[in-house]
Amino acid sequence: METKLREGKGSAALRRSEPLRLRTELKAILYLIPFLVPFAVFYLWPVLRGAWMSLHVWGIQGMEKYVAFANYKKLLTNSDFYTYLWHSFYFVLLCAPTVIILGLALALIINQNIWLRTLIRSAFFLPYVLSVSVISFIWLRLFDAKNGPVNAFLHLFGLPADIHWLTDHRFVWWAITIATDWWTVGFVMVLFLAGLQEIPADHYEAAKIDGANAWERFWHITLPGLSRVMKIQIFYQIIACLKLFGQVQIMTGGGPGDSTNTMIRYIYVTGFKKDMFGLASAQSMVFCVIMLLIAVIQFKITDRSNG
Amino acid sequence: MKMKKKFTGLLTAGLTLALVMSGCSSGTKDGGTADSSEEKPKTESASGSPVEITFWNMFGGGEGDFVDQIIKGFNDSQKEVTVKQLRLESNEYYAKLSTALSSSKGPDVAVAHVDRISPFVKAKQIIPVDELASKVGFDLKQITDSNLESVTYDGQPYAVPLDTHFHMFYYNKDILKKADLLNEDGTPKLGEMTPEGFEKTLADIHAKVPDVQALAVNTPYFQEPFLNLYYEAGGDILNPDMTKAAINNDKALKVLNFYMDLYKNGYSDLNDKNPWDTFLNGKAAFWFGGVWEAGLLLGDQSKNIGAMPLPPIFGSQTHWASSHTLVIPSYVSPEKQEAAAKFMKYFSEVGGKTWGQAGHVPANSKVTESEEYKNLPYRIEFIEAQKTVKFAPPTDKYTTIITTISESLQNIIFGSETPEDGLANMEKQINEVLDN
Amino acid sequence: MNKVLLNIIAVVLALLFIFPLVWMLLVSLKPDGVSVYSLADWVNWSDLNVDNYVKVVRDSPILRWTWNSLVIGVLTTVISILVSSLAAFSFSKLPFRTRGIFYLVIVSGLLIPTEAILIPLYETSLHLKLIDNMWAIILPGLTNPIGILLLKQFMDGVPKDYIEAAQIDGSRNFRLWWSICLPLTRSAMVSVGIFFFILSWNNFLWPYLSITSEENMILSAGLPTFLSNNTMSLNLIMTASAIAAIPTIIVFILLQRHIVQGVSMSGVKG
Repeated sequence: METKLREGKGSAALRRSEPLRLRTELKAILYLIPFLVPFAVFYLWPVLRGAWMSLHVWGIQGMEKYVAFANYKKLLTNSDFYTYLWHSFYFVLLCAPTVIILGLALALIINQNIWLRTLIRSAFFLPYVLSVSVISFIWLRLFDAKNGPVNAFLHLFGLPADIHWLTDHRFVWWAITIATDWWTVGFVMVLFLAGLQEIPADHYEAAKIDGANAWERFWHITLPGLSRVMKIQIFYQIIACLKLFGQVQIMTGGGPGDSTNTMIRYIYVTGFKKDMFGLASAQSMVFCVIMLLIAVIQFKITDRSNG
Repeated sequence: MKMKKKFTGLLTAGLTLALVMSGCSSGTKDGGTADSSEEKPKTESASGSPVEITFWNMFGGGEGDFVDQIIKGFNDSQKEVTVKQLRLESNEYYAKLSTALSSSKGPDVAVAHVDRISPFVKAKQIIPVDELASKVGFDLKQITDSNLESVTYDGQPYAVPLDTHFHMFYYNKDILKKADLLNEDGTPKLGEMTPEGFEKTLADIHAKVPDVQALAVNTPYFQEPFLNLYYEAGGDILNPDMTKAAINNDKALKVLNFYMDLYKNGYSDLNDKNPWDTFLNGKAAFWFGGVWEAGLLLGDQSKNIGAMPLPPIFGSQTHWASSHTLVIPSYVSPEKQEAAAKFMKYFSEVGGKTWGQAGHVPANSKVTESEEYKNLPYRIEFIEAQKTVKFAPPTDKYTTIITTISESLQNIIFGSETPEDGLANMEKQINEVLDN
Repeated sequence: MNKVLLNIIAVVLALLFIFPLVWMLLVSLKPDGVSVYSLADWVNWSDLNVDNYVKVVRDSPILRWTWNSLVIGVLTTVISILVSSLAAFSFSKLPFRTRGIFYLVIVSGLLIPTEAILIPLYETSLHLKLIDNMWAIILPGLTNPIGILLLKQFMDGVPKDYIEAAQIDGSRNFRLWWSICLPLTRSAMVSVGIFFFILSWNNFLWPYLSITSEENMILSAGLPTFLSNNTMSLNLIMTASAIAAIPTIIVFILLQRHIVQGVSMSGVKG
C-alpha cells in the first residue's frame, strides 16, 4: 500500500521529496554494487581499454606507439580476416541447423514415452557436461585417419581408403561439426523437451479428432508451439558457433593450412603468439561490432514477428 | 521457515567451506614460491637456512625427468641454495615468461631459448651474467664459442647457454636392409648428395618397401624441416642488419618444391599428424629427428636405429639449431641472483652430463670432451653436427616472425597457396612486422 | 510411428552417443601404444589394467587441477548467486528512477563475449597482479548478467502481499531480501547455480591464458598440457581425459534431474 501511494501521487510527490528520492536511489544502487564493481573492472574497463589498445602497436611488454586507425586498415585489407570471418560463419551454417534439427528430433523421440526414457535422455545429455578439452581430445583420436574407430567403422561399411578427417580440407569442418553437435545437442534437446511439455495435450486431441495425421499435427501444432524456444535456440546457436575456439585449437590447430582458423583463434594467435596486442584488439573490436549487429538483427526479427 | 533456515545454513556452510579450502589450494597471490607455509624463504644472509629460488622451465615428458634429476642433484650437493621448479606448459611458455618479466613478478631463474632473449635484453629485463659468474667461480670460457656468442649483446653475455639442440638424420636399419641400402658398417647408402640424388634413394625405398614412408617429415612443425634444408642451401631469414626479410628467393622455392614433390610422390605422408611416432614405430625409413629424441630412439637397441648428421643434399652441412639458456630477471634481489648463479654453474658443469644423456649437446665443452659423454650412442656424430649449426637471427621480433613463417608454410604445403605466392606473402608480412 | 521401432531407434542412438565415452575408457585402460581400432581390439580384454591411471595421477597434477576446478566452481557459483540475487532484488522490488539506465548497462554485458576482450582483460589482470591466481578466473566470471535477469523474473513473481506485509512491519530492505526473496526464489537459485557451475567447470580459453603455473591450472585448461608434454603417448591423453570426465559423469548421474531442470529453466526463460 505504501508503494501504491507513492506511485499514485506521481511526479508531484517526487518533486516534493527530492532528498528522499536521492536516498531511495542510493539505497537501491547499494544492492547493485556487488555486481557492478567486478562488472566495471572486468568487463566495462577492458572493453574501453581494448578500444584504446586497438589504436596502438602494443606488445606484451607494453605500449609501443600510437598509430590511430592503421591497425583497422591493416586488418580490413588483409584477406585473412575475411577468410577467417567466413570460416566462422561457415561453421554457423554447418553446425546451427544440424544441432537444432538433431536436438528437436531427439526431443520428439524422448517425448514419446519410450522405454528407459530417463536413461536414454541422460545418454544424449551426458556429453554436455564434459569440458571442451575432453571432447576435443576424444574426437581427435576418434577421427585419427589410421588408428581411429570412425574410419574403422566406415571400412566395415565398404569405405575403400582412409578419410583424413582432420587433415583434408574437404572433411575437416564436418569432423568439427560432428564433434560439436555430439557435445551440445543435449542442451538443445532439453530445451525443446521443456517447450514440448508446455504444449497443451488437448490441442493434439482436438487435431486428432479433426482427422489430422502425425505429420500435420507436427507442422501445425508442435512447430508453432515451439516457436519461442526455436527463436531463442537459433540466436543462441549462432552466437555460440561464432565463438568457436577450443575444438579447433585442440583438434586441428587451425589446419590443414589455415582452413579451420576462426575469428577467435585469429585474435588469440595475433595477440598471444605473434605478440601484436594492438592488432588483436582491433580484431576484437570488429568482432564485437559484428556480434552486436547480429544481436540487433535478431532482436528486430523477433520483435517484428511478436508485434 | 524450517526450509529457509536449513537453506541459509547450507549456503553459509558452503561459502565458508569454499573460502577455507581456497586458502589451502596453492592459488595464492604470489605466483612464484608455492606452498611450504612453514619455512619462510629467508632473504637475509644464509646463516643456516638456504636461499630458496624458483626456476621456471618448459621441460615436460622425458626431458622433465632429466631436469628433475639435475635439480635434485644440486639441492642435495650443497646447503646454501634450494631450487624449486615450476614447470610451465610449453605452448604458452613465452607469453607467460614475458608477462612475468614485464610485471616484475616471477621466477628467479628461467630457461629461455636463445632466439627469444633478444626482446628481454632490449627491455633490460634480464641481467648480464659475466660478473655473477666470476663471483661464484664459474669460468664462462668452458662454454663453446658459438654458444657464448649467441647470447652476447654489446660484448656482454646475457645468459648461460646450457646446450645446442638440432636435428639429426635418423635411419631405420631394418627397413634399409630390406631395401638393400645398408652398408656393411650399418650406415645407409645414400647416393648422390643432391636433391635429385636423395629423392632417387627415397624412390628406391618406396618401391622396395612400399608400406612405410621413405622419409617421415615433421609436417605439424614444418618450419623445422624447411629451415634445415633452407640453411643448407645457404638461405637466411633476414638480411644481415635484420631490417628486411630475405626469405623470398629461389633457394627457398627449391626447398619447398622438393618437399612438395616428396608429398606428391608418396615418399612422405602429408596427413601424418604424428610423424615422430611413425618413425618410432618403425613405419618410416628416415627422419630428421631432434637430438632430444636420442634417448627414445637410440636407447633401445632392438629398434635398430642409427643416427648421422643431416646429409648435405642442398649444398652444405649448415642446419638449424636452437639452444636452451638460463636467464636471470633483473628484478631478482642480489642475494638470489648469486644463488641463481650457483645453480647455473652446477647445471652447466655437473648437470651437463645428465643433460647430455637427454640428447641435447651440452654447451659446456668440458662435458662434451669427456669420455663419458663421447661413449653415449652416436654422440660423436652429434658433436660433428654441432659444428655447422646456424642459430636464428637475434631479432627482438623473432616470436612474431617465426609464427608468421610457420603459418605460411602450413598454407603452402596444404595447397592453399602456391610456394611462390606463399613466399611473397611471408616476405610482405615479415617486412611489415619489422617496419613497426 | 510404430512404438517398437521408435524404441529401437532410441536405444541405437543412445548407444551411438555413449560410444565415444566407452571407447575413451577402453583406450585409457590399455597399455601405452595399444590402440582400439578393429573389432578384435574391442573385445580383447586381456591387457586391461589401471597402470595408465596410476601414471597420470602420479606424474601430473591432475587431481590438483580437479580440486582447483571445484574450488573455483563453487566460489564462482555461490558468489554469483548472492550477487545476482541482490541485484535482482534491487531491480525487482526497490523503486528507483535510474533503474532503467542501470538495467541497460547490465544487459549489455550479454552482448560482448569474453573472447572479444581477452587482451585488455589480460592486461587488467596483470596490473591487478591476478595472473596465475584463481581470482583471475572467478572475478571475470561474475560479470555474466544472466543470473540477474533470471532471478529478477522469479522475483517479479513473488506475490506483492508478502512484500507489503513485510514493509508494513517496518522491515528494512535487507531483511526483505534475506527473509523473503531469498527463500522464495530458492529453486530458481539452484537452477541458476547449476548453470553457472557448469559454465565455470567447462570454462576453457580464459583460464588457459591467465593461469601460468601447472599447479594452479583448472582441469579443462590443464588437459591440453598433456598434448604438448606427452605427444608420444596417446593412451595417456585418453586416461587424463577419462579422469577429467569421470567425476563429472558421476555427479551428473546423481544430480541429473536437477541439472536438466536447471539448464532448461535458464534456457527457456532466458
